Amino acid sequence: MGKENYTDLEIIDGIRGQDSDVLLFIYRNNFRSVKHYIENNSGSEKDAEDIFQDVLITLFDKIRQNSLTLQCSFHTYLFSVLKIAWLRQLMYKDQKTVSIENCDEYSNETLGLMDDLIKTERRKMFLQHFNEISYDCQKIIRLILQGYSITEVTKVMGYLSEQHTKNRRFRCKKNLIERILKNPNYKELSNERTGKDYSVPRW
Amino acid sequence: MKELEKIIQYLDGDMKVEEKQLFELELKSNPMISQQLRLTLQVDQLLADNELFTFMENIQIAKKQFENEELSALNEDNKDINSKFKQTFFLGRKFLTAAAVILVVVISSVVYNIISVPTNDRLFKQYYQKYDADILTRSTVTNDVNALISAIQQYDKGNYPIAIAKFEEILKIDNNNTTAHFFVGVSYIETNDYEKAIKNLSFIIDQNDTAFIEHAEWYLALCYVKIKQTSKANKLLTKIAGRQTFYKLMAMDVLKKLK
Repeated sequence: MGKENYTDLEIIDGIRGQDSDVLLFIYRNNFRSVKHYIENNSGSEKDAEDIFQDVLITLFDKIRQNSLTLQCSFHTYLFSVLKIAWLRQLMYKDQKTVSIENCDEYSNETLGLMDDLIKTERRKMFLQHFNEISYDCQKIIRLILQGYSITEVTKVMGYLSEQHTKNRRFRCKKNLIERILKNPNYKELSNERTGKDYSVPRW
Repeated sequence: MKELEKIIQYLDGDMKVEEKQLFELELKSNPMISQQLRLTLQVDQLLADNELFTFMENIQIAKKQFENEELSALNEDNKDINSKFKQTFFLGRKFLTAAAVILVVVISSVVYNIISVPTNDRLFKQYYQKYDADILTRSTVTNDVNALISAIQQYDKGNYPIAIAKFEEILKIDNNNTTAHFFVGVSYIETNDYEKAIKNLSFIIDQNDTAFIEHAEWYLALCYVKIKQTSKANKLLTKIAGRQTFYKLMAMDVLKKLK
């Protein structure tokens, strides 16, 4: 059973350590307001769920790289990141406008998060295509990347020969990369910063 | 896409020394190749990141827990409304308002029950998906596995009665062939013969076959769901949900929805 309340430091440590009680606490204390915000800014509940997860992944990445320094409460920080992420999606995909009242939340630090958010979106796109390939393809690619030898993978997968495993690995990977290259968003997400100006306007 | 093939061979260490040197020169002069190499490296880096995969799985679990809590809270609210209605009704005040409220509650409750407690059949249809045999049918084969490959090709094409006959022939000669047991098991599901599917899939689990056990457990659990052997389904799904496998989240979902 988790605690009723967590300090910001405990939340950061909990994300780093993937503490299930802390993750549930974050959902309990933030998701309703996130949903309310997204639904009031041209989004749906599904959009709120997706963007909330993207932001959590982005924060997890920053935390494990020790590049997150909180200068406000965790809730405020999470919300600032979320607003920037949502704004980026709206500006990029639908060219819609969004009204955000409190401009003070946009510090230089949160603006610097744009690269992190693009990285999360890029990885999400990779995973979307990874999930499209067959389960066995997913398994063989991951086993090899986790350092299993061709001999071990051949045995685990029940393949007929090591050469077949090698051929299979090659075809699976080629299939995956080709799918990514064909994705219309690939070019936009392939660099940390692209031609677009991501500076947040002053409303 | 020839460049891509070279990139994968390069990264997988499948190039000869001379090929590698030539490729490295090409890499310096061709920005498209170096961009694709960077992409392939980014993908490799992501897919090797177990910590991130676990985190994504954990936030899915937290989300589901949170949704369940919200649903329970909603049910409690409905109960409160019901109880308030009773008080109002027996006191004889605001009868019409109360009647409207109970109507909404009853309708919501019926709709909720229909939506949130799916029948076993509906659950089965929602989660069952034919196993992709692509991996085996493209193998470089030797004569002794020709019969098996031929049976799997029939399975692949959806000719299940023919596939079943071929697999059963193979099993007559080699009853320990877990590949045949697995595919004939799924073929029996496709032909709605769940008892035979269960028999064949259980065989793989009894043998503790590493190549097919995860798949066999999942399909077996779905068979139990379909034929309403709920306690067996529950037991097996709990086992699947407790391990870090491809089927973990789906097993957790079915467990929650199972009557």
